[in-house]
Amino acid sequence: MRGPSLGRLGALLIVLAVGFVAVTVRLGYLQVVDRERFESKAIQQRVRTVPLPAVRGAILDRNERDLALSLDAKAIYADQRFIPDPMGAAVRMSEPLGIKPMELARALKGESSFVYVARQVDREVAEEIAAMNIPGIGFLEESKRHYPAGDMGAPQVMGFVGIDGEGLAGLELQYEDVLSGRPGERQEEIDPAGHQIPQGIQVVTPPVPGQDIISTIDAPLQYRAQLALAETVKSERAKGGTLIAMDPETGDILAMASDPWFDPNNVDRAKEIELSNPAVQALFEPGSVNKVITASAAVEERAVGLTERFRVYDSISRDFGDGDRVTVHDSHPHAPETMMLGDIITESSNVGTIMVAGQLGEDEMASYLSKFGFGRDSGIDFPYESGGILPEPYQWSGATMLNIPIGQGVSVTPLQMASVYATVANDGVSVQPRLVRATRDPDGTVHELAASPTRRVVSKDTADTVTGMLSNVVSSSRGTGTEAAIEGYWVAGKTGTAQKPRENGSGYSHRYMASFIGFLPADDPQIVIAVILDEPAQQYGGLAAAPLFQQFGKEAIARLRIPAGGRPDLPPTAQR
Amino acid sequence: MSAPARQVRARQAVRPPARTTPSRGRPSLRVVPLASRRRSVGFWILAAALLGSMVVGIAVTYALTAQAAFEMRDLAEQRTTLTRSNRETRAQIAVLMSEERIDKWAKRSKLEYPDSIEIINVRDAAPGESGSSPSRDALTAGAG
Repeated sequence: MRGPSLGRLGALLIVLAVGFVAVTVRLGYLQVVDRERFESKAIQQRVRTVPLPAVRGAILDRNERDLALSLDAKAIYADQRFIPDPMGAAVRMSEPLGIKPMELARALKGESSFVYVARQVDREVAEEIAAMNIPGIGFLEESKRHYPAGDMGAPQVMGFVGIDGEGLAGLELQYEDVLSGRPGERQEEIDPAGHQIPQGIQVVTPPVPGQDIISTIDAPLQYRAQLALAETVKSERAKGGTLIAMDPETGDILAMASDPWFDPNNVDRAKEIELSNPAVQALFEPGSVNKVITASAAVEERAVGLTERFRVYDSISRDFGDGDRVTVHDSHPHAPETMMLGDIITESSNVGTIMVAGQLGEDEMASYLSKFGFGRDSGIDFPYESGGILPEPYQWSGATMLNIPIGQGVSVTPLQMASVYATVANDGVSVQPRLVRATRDPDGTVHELAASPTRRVVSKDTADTVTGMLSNVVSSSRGTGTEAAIEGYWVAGKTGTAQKPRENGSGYSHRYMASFIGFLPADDPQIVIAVILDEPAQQYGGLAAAPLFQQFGKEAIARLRIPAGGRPDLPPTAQR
Repeated sequence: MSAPARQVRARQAVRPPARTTPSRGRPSLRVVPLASRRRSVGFWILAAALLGSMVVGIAVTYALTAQAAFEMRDLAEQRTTLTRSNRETRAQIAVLMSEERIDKWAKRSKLEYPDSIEIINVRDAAPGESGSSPSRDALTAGAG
């Protein structure tokens, strides 16, 4: 028998060797060069990544009471390919979910592997659905924002979040970075059946929960503000209204309410107009409450002596040629009166204020409007704040000095106007208003934010003098703000009754914004309260807004335990 | 091509037959003693014991690891549940403390705000002069 020849064996050896080398090279390629790709593919097959959402921080009131917090919820989704009877499943799920069966069936029919059926479902409801064991229905963890005080918990200040939990308005948006935290994930190795392998890969990157923010809002005071405002808006048949309470020394906003408002737990049902925060975002012509700036500027610049007497008629006219004539009237006809600056403010004389502004001059008037913060943002920590409209001095016409000193022809937000009074109340120093005073870590550590920046606008003497004038507005029988008086307390404030501009921009309508802005106690102010009503039945600020100031002022005194102060220095008047 | 194989076979064929008788002076062959077999059995028992203990050790470690993993998972779930429960309790407390709810209860109980409230600030009272309270504020409701 003849064996294989050496040549054939050699050839076989070469073939085998080549094959072996090829396998080795390929193996090396797979194991070394292409290692990462295959490793990641293998990991994808056997390692599951579970997202760990970060818990959104809460929003608390100044006493650390919860105003907004996140609760666990479930998202229900459908893999339509595995639902054998979509209509039957829709009928079963419709009642607990509160969705019509036909609407649900639309989400369940089809060939899609992932369709949301319902979002932010309460855990109890999700468990009820899970117990039905409907094939193709799955659940995902998510959170739901909850506002425990509902629509009475400063909804326009809190704002609201979107379906994925991101801040869309208000403090929720402003402090999104602080509140949202950082999501984590858990990587776990699973067997083919999807069960976790205990000693397999398990890498957990824990989520970093968001920080809580401690607002300056006082929840009980906020409730009182909203309640009192709603009652007044209703009784006055007004289109709406705003109430702001502020600590003049720190700039802390204690309450901020605007009617109408919305329920942050049911944002979908809110009207668009309710979602904004008019206290910070809406503009109005302030009217006579603006006279405090004219008076402050005149006193500070010594343009007018406190005992200087003015002969005040009930109207004043300026002729600009070509038949262009502008006439401004006082609120009621009266015989010519002798008035000092104190009387002019007490009785809110338009004519007298224009005469004072005339002595002050355009440049100084414009300068003080700007110093008091008109025409720019107040700097409050709230998104989309409006800076108001203050015409530049070069845009002023001859008629401007007949309008702006009495608060027409200039637009401000309620907050800007409240800040003007806070400046006077704070000895002439303006403090930037704020809505958040601190942040709180998940472990409870509180980090106080830096105090709000301040700047001096007028001297303490000027502020004291103007405070005396404002006290007369409330305490004098000739004052326009007597309805704001609180027994046992010296209240300083000013009424405002401003004509609303026509919507087509051609002059003023006969619709009014009524306001009262003031502070108490006059000699040591603890709180500034601004009340603004849009088209109330009683058009005058002294009749429509001042009583609300009084009502809320009493509640603020009780809530904040504000002691009665002493008598402020009242200015000289020609009427006594 | 087959010639070399034949040559090999030829060389094997001429090899002299192996001697069957022992050569003089050389010890005769004898039966292997049992002692070495006994040593071999000992080796196998030792090996089995080592192997067995290793298997048992691995199994125990496996079981302990699995148990620890399950415990960890249970603890993590417990933590999640407690955190959730904490938040739900906080929400309940906030709802119970809401002014609207308290206000409704107060109205139902016919409680009303006093008409006039005056807070009197007691300044610089000497200790014991106006009671022992260190509080600077005193609330007087209904004054005036």
